[in-house]
Amino acid sequence: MIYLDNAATTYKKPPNVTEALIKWAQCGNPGRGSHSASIAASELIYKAREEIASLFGAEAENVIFTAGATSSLNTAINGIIQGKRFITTDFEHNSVRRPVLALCRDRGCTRDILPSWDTKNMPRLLSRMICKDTSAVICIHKSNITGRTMPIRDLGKICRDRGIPFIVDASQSAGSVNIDIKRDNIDILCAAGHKGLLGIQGTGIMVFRDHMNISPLLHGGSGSDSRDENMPLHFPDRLEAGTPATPAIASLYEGVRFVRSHGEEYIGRKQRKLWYRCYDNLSSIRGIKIYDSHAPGANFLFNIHGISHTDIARELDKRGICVRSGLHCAPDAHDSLNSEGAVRASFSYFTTTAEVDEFIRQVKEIAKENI
Amino acid sequence: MCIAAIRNMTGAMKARDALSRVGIFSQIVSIDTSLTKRGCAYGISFPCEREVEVKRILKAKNIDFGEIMGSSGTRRDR
Repeated sequence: MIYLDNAATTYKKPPNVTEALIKWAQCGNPGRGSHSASIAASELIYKAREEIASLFGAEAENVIFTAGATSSLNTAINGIIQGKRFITTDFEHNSVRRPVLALCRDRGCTRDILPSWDTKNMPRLLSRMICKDTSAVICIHKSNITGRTMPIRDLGKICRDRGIPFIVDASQSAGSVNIDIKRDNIDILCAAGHKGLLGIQGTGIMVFRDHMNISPLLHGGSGSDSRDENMPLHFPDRLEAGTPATPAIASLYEGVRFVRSHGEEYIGRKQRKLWYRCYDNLSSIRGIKIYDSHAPGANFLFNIHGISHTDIARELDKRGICVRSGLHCAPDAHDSLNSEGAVRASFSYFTTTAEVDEFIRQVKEIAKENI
Repeated sequence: MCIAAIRNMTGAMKARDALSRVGIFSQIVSIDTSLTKRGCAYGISFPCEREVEVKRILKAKNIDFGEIMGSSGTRRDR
């Protein structure tokens, strides 16, 4: 099987990731006692926090473990105190779009959309869009359907100057782009743990620049301040109600160690090379449309004239290649690209040139058979 | 040994690491809930003669700590 759906979740993991999962399948409950089993689990969790903090230039206590990017983004969006008006881009995943729209529906909030077709112009547009009611700006860093990358540092600078929280969905960039939460002016970074960070599914993170007054989405045991009726104010406990997913976090720890040992920039370059290989071989083929062709990255989005995206993906699957067709949970982004659905091939550190060559060969054949 | 009360495990881990870097051996312990206002909390135990140094390091690292107690749980000044 050739797996090219790494934007959904990375399939191949470093051996240490799966070994850690098995090793920590039996463990104590971290932060819930001072016996040796609990302390051992706490030490692992703390090391994972430190590793992730180092990756993003943050402090360990400002790293929050969640069940995934959706959980992180819902916590961030719903937790903004007195949220009224949100600015998002037209390229957001449903993990941003839906919670914001739910707030619009249920609490009368407003959503303003920042267009991203000309990424260079985005800071200027954002400056104009921010108004006195703006509660937060939420921005995807790298698109989950193409290689489009938002100028987060410049957008964040505008937010910082105006005192507005800047929330970044780094689900597609974490692990393949160097991100420094302070340098890049991010207040809250949200990401999945099972994509570029190479942990297993069920892991996600929030990384805060500083402590923020944020209302927790979940309330429950934290192992601290137990008499208090409310969740503790201090991080990470405030946003980590309940037992952490220790084995999954152990896998994420190893995944992040792998990323740090290879370097995010190297991983990103490797993915872009594969994108260019696809572009160079397929862009001249009659009937093949490549979206966002000026934005190389880990995601290669295309269609073939005369055959539906669903049928292309089905045909590739029959030939042993896993790709994803449809709207990729980002309907606004597809609208912006004038697409009613497309096929996405997405690469990871482990995707090989031979795999991509076979994908190219099969796409060419399908195109030839249908045009 | 003395114990510095720290409200959560992450803080206690951070404190232990910070002290270890300057050669102060410390251990994470649970603090009896009868000694805390808010309930469950942790602490780090360390040699009482290093108290001044420990306080300085924890403050420098922005680690929020509460009371310094004797090993028997008797309260001491912060």
